[in-house]
Amino acid sequence: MSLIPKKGTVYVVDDDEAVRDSLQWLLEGKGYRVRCFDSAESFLSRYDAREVACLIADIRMGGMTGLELQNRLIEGKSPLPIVFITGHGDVPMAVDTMKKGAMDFIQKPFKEDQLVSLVERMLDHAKDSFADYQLAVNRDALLSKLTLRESQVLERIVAGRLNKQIADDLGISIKTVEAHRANIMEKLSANTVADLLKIALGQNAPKV
Amino acid sequence: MLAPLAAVLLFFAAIVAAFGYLRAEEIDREQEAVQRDVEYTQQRLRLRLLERQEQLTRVAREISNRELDPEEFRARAASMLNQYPEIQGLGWVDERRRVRAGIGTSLHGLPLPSATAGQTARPDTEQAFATARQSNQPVYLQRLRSAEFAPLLQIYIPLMERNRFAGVLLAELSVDGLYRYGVPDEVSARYAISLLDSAGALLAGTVIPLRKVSFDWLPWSPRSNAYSMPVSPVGNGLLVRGQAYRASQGVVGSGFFWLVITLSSMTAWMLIANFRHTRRRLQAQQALMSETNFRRAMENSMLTGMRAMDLQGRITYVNAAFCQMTGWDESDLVGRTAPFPYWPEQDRELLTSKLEEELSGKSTPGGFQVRVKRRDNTTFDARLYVAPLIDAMGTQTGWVTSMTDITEPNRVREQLSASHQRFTTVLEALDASISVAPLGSDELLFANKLYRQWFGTLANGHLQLVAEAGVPSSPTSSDNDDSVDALAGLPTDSIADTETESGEIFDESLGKWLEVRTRYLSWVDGRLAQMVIATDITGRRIAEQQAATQAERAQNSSRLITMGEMASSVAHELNQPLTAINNYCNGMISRIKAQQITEEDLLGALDKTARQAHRAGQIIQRIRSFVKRSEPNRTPSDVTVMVSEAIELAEIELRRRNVRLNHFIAPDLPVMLVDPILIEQVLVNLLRNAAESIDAAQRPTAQRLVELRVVASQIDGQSAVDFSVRDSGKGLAPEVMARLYEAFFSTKSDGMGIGLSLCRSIVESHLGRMTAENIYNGTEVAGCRFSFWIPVANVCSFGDSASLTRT
Repeated sequence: MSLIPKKGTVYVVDDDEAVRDSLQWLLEGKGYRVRCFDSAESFLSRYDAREVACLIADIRMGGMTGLELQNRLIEGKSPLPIVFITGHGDVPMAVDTMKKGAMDFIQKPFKEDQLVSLVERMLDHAKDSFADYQLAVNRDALLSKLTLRESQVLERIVAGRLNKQIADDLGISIKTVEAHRANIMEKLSANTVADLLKIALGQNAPKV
Repeated sequence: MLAPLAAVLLFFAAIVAAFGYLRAEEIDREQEAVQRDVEYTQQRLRLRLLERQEQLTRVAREISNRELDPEEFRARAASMLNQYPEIQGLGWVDERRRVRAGIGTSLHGLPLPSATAGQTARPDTEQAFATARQSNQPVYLQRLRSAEFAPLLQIYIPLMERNRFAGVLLAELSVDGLYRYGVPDEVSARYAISLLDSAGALLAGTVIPLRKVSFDWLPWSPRSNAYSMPVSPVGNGLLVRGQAYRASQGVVGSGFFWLVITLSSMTAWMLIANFRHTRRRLQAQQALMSETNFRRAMENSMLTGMRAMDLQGRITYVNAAFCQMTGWDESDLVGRTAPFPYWPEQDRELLTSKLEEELSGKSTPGGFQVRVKRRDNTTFDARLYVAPLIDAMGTQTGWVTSMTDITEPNRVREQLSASHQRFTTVLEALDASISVAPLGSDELLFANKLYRQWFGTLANGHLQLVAEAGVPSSPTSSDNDDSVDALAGLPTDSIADTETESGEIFDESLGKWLEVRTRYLSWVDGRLAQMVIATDITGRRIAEQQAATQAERAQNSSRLITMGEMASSVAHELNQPLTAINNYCNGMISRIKAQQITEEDLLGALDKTARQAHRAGQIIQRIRSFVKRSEPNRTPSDVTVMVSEAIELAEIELRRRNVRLNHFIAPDLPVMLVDPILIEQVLVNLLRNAAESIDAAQRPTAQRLVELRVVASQIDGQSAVDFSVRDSGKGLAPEVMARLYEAFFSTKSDGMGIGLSLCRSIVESHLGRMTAENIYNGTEVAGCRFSFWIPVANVCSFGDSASLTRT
C-alpha cells in the first residue's frame, strides 16, 4: 500500500468487527488510507475536519446510530461526505439520510467496484468542500477578531451605506465610523472595499 | 243447682218453724194447765181457810155473846184442834192482850204483846192486832219462818162486846198442815206445789231446783214452767206456787225433734247424693257428647267414604266423605236399594253381581276396584272394602263398605311405571355398559343393553372388567394383615360410600378403549354388590392423541412463525459474516492481481474469511435446532445451557433493534426436568417481545435495555427456577393485560397472537405459572416484566442421570 499514492482518508464506522476489518482490508487493497471506529462516539472524538476524507458508516449500530451521527456532523457544519451501509429492509432509513445530504447508501454485501467508485466520488467531492470549508473557517476567524461595534459597521458597509448614514444609524459621529472602518480594514487585511466585501460575503462572493 | 239447695233450706226452715210452733203451743198449754191447777189449789186453800175463818168467827161470836167461858172455849178449841190438824193452836186474847185461854203448842212460844210486859215483841204481830182492832175484820198474818218455829199463819179475829173491841181470837195454822191437807193430791202429784212467803222463801211443799242456765237457749230446755199466786184471804203474805214436772213431755218432744233431725239429715244426704249423682251424670253426658262430636267430626273429616247397608242391600248410612266423593246427598242415598245412583250405567251388571257377592259374604279381603259415577256424570276409580256390620249383641245387621278414591294413586302408579320405563329406557340406551354383580358370585344382578351386547348375559365380562381395570374386587388394603376378610365385618354403607374408582383399559376382544368405573353399592336385597360402568372412550383417546399431536404441531409452527418473523433480523445477522467474507475475498483478489500481497497476509485474510463462514454456519445451525421438529422430550436439562442458547437466538433480533441485553444467571441452578426446546422457545419469545416493545416505545439508546434474570426461588414451599424478562418499553395497557394470553390476540400489526398463549400453555404444562406486570417509575410506566417459574421438585429422582442425558 505504500506504493500507491495517498488518495485520501476513508473513515469506517461499524460495530461489527468482522465487517469493519474486512472493509479496511478491501479499501487498503485499493490504496486508500482507512481509519476504523467501532462506534460513532469514538469516531466523533477523533475526527479531524481539516483532513480531506470521507465516511462509510453502518446505519444500525449499538449506541449512537448512523442517523444520529449524521445529525451531529451537520450540526458541526462538517463537509465530510457520508455513505451509509444498510442492511435488508433499511431502505426508508437510507432515504432519510439522503435527504439530509448523504452522498449515497450501499447495501451489504458490497460489490467491490461499486464501493470503490463511490469512495472515489466522495473524495473528489470532499476536496472541493474542504476548500470551501477552509475559506469559511478563515473568514470566520477574521470576522471573529472584530468588536461588536465594528461588526455592526461592517454589516452596514457591506449593505452599501455611506459613512454618514452609518453614523446616523448607530448614533455615533462620522469620525468614529471612519476610525472603525480603518480598524476593520486593518483586522481583515483588506486594502480596498472590494477586498472587504469579498471577505465579508465569503464563498458567496464571485471568485476572482 | 241452687234450687234444690234452696228447697232443702226451705224445708229445714219449715220443719224448724213447725217444731217451734208446736213447742210454743205446748208450752202455752202447759202454762195454762199449771195456771189452772194452781188457781184450783189456791181456791181449795182459800176455801179451807175461809171455812176455818168461818168456824173461828162463829167461836168468836159465841165469845162475844158470852156464850162461852174460857173452859168451854178450851174444850171447843181442843175439839177443833183434833178436828182440823192444820190448826196448831187457838188462843183467846183480850183487849189488853192477855191470853184468856189458850190451847196448842204454838201458843207457848208465842210472845204475845202484853201491856204488862210493856213491850211488843214483834211489830207485825202488833200491827195485825191493831188492824184487827180497828177494822173489826179477821186479819191474817203470815209469820215469818224462824229458827224455833215452823212457819205459821196467824188469824186474828176480833171479839166485839157490845160493839166494843174485846180482844181477838188468835188461831195459829201450820202452813205445813195447810199444805198437807189443803192441797189436792191430784195436783200435788202433777206439780211441785209449794207455799212461799211474800219474800219468796219456801214455807212448805216441794220445789224443783232450777236447771243450769247453759241449756236455756235450747228449745226443749225446760223453762220455769211455774205459776204462783197469792192465797187470797192471806194476801201477799202467802203465795202458792206450782211447778210442772216435765219428764215425759221432754222425752216425747225431743224424740220427735230427733226424728225430724234424722229425717232432715237423711233428706240432705239424699240431696247431696243426688246432686253428686247428677253431677257425675252431667260429666258423663259431656264426655259422651264430646266423644260423639269427636266421632262425628272424625266421620265427617275422614277421607274414606263409608257406606252401611242392611242385610237386604239397602243403604242405611253414608258418611260425609262418601257423599262428597259421589256428589250425592245423604238423603239421596239412604234408603236406596240397588241399582244405586252412583253406579255407572255401563258397569251396572258387573256391579250388581258384585253387590250380590257382597251380600252373600263372598267379599275379597283385599277389596276390589270399581268405577263410580259422580252426580255430574264424571267417573272415578275407587277401591271398596266390605266388612260385615256386627252390632253390640254380636249379630250381623248388615254390611259396611269403605270406599277410597284411588284415581290419584292410580295416576301416581302409572307415572311411576312410566318413570321406571323411562329410567330403564335411559339405562338401556346409555352408551355405557352398566353391570352389577354381588361380590364373590357369578350371578349378574343387572346388566343394561350395551353390556349384553358386549359381554352377553353372563357375569364373565363384569369380572373381566374388574380384573383388567386393576381395581381390587375387595376394597381391602393389602398392607393390612387382618383385613383379608374385613369386608364381611365392614358396615355395608361405608363400603357403598367409598368413592368411585376408575381405570382405563384396552379391551382386546372388543377392540375398544374403555373407561371402567367401579363402585360398591348395597343392592336392593341388602347384599353388597359391585357396579361396573364401562364407557367406550376410544373416540376420546384418539381425540386426546390428536390433540397432543396438534399441540406439538402448534408449538413447532409457533417456532417456525417466530423464525419467520425474525427472518429480516436473521438475514441481517447472516449478512454480516457474508459481507465480511465478500470483502476479504475482494481485497485478496485485488492484492493478488497487483501482486502486492505477502503469503502471511493472505493466510491471515483467509483465516478471517473462514471464521466468518463458520460464524454464518453457526447462526443457521442455531436456527435449525430451534425450528426442527422434535418429539416432546422432557430431559433433565441444564438451565444455563438452555438460557444461553435462547439468548443467542434472541440477540439476533435484539441487535437488529439496537437493544442491549443484560442477563444474570444465578450459579448452581438445579437441573430441571423439562423440554429444553420449549423453554428456549418461551425465553426467545419473551426477549423478542421485550425488544419489540422497546423499539415501539422509541426509547433513546441509553434506555434500550432488556434484563434477563434466572434465579432459584421457593414457590409454595417447593423449589423452583424463576425466569424474568424486564424491558423498558411502554408497558401493557390494562385492556391488553386482560387479554394477554388470549389466542389470536396481538398488539402487533403483523402478529399472529400465538406467542404468549403458547408460552403460557408451555409453562403450565411444566406445572409452572406465568405472570406479567408493569413497572412504574413514579406514575409513568417504565417498562414491563414478564416472569415465569418452573418447579424443580420433580427432577430430584433424575439427579443421577442428568449429566448423562444432557447433550
